[in-house]
Amino acid sequence: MTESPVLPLTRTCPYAPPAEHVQLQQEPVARVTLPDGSQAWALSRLEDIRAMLADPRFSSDRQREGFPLQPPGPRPAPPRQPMIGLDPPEHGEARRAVLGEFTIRRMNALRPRIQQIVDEHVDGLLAGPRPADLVSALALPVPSLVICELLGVPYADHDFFQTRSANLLDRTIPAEKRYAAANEIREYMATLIIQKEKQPTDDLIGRQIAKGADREDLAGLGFLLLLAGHETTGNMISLGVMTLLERPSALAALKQDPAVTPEVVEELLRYFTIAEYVTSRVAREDVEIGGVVIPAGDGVITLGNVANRDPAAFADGDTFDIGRGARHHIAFGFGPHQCLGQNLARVELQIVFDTLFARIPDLRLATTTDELSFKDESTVYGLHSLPVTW
Amino acid sequence: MLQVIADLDRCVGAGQCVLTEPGVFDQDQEDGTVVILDDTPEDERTITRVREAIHICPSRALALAESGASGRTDTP
Repeated sequence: MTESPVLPLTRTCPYAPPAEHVQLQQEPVARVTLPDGSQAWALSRLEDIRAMLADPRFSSDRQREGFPLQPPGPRPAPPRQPMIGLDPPEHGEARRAVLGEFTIRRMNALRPRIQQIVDEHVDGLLAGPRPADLVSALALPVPSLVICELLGVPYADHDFFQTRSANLLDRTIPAEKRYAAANEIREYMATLIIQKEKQPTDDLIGRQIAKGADREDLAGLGFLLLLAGHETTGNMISLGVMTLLERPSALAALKQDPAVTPEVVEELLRYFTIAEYVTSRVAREDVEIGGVVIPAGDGVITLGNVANRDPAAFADGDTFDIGRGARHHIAFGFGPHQCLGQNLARVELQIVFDTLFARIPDLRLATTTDELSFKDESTVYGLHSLPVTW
Repeated sequence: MLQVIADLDRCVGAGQCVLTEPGVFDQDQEDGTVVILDDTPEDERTITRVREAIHICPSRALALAESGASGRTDTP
């Protein structure tokens, strides 16, 4: 029995998956050792990952024995996990309760307000010093404000949950500190819900209360949506700006024709696949994937960044190509858990890129990409800061 | 004649079909599940986009079938 290779979880180049992940495409269903010493399976083909994520025999339950990439040690069990950790039938019920809040029509109805938020932040950027940090001036506050307004969470508290969100996703800090961060956000939500029970508000949390949602479940949902709406879109904004500033022809196409923007957004999502480990699973029974039987109880890691460059699905996938038609990517996952907020993210990204490059046409990086600091330690890839000038 | 079929029990309201072909697909505004606006599109380009929607549907809730035929479907 040969030793299985240790799977690194960090990227060495923002524009490429780790070399070891690319190597694994030779063995698309591979037995691997994770940095913490535990064993799991790694999938690197798009079709295998789609099949796995659509198969109810794989569980999303983070508390199930064998679920990979969880912080080590005993974990405090909340009464019930939020949607992301539920399996059928509970998952379907929980998701359906909020689906109406995230329809395409509802997301489009948010456009004017999102536009206003983006404009205000671009105003602030232009009024401030040069160079400026795009992450703190625009990339993070815009999605943060949008999700706060949608949920009905006071934006004034954003520092509180931003620091805790970052801690929770940081693989390098002790597990108890990560769990403490999660509990603090959850408690914050519980307090907010009690307040809204007394004084009803017309926002997502308020409407869920009116529908008779369970308080604990709603605290978990609010926590999940706040976290997911914070870290992900913000990282895609900064990575997207960096990428476009380094690819003048793609940027020119975007500036010239707003119809191109959704294509650019889709290609950026594919190219970075920033939350690839979130779609990991654990097998509930023995299941065959890609010709290999994965035994019950074994964890499965999805190498989404490699899969989103799978030659069987994307010709010349290492090339950033806004004309490729990338909509079958799995940056938002696949199967019944596919990102609930994906269409909100698309709208936000489209508005941000259109507005930013129209209003600051000579925007440029104030540093080289070699000097940039990436979130290598985080479960969600991104940039710590992005110095820009104009 | 091809018929668009949706399995509402499987649908998870991701809205990818609406983004792909809004002339055929919409969402229920209450629970987000798919609503078929035109279940027998005849235009080739529309049918191509319906096939794309079938392929990217995360819950594999959509299919194209010969209307009147039993059981022969184009599933993702």
